Amino acid sequence: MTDNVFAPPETEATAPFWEAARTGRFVLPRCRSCSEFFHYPRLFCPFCGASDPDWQEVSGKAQVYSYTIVPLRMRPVPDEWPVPYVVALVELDEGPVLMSNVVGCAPEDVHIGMPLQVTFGDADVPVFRPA
Amino acid sequence: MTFNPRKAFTKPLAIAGIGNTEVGRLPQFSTLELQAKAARLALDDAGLAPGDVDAWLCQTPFTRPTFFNAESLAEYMGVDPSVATTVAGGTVAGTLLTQAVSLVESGLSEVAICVFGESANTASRGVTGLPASFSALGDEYESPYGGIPAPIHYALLAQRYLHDYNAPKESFAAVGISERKHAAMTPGAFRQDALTWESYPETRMVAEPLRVPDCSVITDGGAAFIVTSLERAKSLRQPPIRVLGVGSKSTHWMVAQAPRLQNFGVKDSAAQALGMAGVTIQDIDVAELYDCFSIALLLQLEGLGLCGEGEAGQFAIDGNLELGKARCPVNTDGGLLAYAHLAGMRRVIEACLQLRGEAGDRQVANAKLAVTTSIAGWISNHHTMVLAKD
Ligand SMILES: [Zn+2]
Repeated sequence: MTDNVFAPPETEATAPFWEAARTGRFVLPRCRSCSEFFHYPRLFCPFCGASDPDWQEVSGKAQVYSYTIVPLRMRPVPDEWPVPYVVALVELDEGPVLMSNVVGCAPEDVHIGMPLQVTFGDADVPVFRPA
Repeated sequence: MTFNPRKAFTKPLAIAGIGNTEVGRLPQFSTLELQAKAARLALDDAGLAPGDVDAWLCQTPFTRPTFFNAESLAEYMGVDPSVATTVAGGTVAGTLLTQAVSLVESGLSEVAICVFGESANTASRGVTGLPASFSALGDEYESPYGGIPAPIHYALLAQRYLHDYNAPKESFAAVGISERKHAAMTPGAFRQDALTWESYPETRMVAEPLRVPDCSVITDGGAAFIVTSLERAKSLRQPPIRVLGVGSKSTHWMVAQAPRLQNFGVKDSAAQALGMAGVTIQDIDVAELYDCFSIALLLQLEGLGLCGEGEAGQFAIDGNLELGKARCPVNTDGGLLAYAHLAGMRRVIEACLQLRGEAGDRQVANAKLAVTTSIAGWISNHHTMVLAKD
């Protein structure tokens, strides 16, 4: 949410994910052998071990697998972080689960199973809003 | 998922000495000094001198990462052991005990000491949580979302638990209330004030649905135990406590990569340890479980088979953790939620005190068999240990 929070280590295996995110595109590695999508990007498919995954844009459609409303800042979350905020485990239609924030609605409206759509807004990382 | 059964140890092994320091806020001691104090307590308990120990096994403290911790401690104690090994990361008690029994069983060591010392209270500034992330993986997939603090990870599990099983909202409170009662009966416990059904809802929310009493206390302190052969242990000062089984399973690191709640590693680590020991969970008299968060305890009750899937909340509400009510009391000293966060080390020590019959007011009558656990991460890596009165 702010520039100085983190600097992802961009490697050959992960750079396409971050480069796409900076232009508001959500891409994931997809195994050329077993066709599974996976998050986070790795050198090898975690399902079958095949190397050299393909990169594909995903739908950005997802639902809340779990979530928590966080009313305070705990270390190492920066002092200027806005609270309350919602951290969620987001299950993509393509299969992978990732951590993200749910934005664009009141925190108390978030619930498990809630349909979501990826958005980027100010952030260089994928976050999700109600679909 | 692969399950690897384990055979019984080829020779009988025992815990021959235990000890932990006072706990709380102890800025007057360094992490190394806390380790040295704990080691001395365990050695005195066993009636051993530092030079009698040929393997020194330590964990590097999160609050002061020191990679040559075991060498430093050995030097500090004035000894020159064959083995000085430092491990990093969590599930400390399980990892150290597993190393110790492996060294002693194989004959590479005769007497091994496992030592822990941490200054988490002195190092902490926030409400809860460790001061920083030490993960090799995942910061870039969690940090941008404010998602690093441990309570958030467990809150995600807790919220899903309520959803999957339509579990009572009071499930989490029941754990803390029960453990606080036990802590009040335990000399030296950090939180001895009562937690009640009335006071719990007034406590501060940390990450919904978890409140402050659902999170472990943050304490400075040290703890140690000594492992040797049963034969050697019998010649020492204390009644030996047999180590009958150790089991472990690492299923994930990042919480987003965790299996569904039903498939955490607890089941496999328990099956390994209980199988090695040749006992079932129904045979266990007392359980000393790693309760870094209330939800962690509930998920382990189910994984261990102390209650059925999805039933742990009601099981806790019905008093099935409590001394005087439970068939198998759980966390008789107050656990990490109330006694102290000494990783899983104090869980092992409390199990030994119960099996020795030295637990005072909180003694479980005729306790012969105990199970104890430890955790890294968000039940990412899980250890189960089965201990028995000789
Ligand atoms: Zn594959």
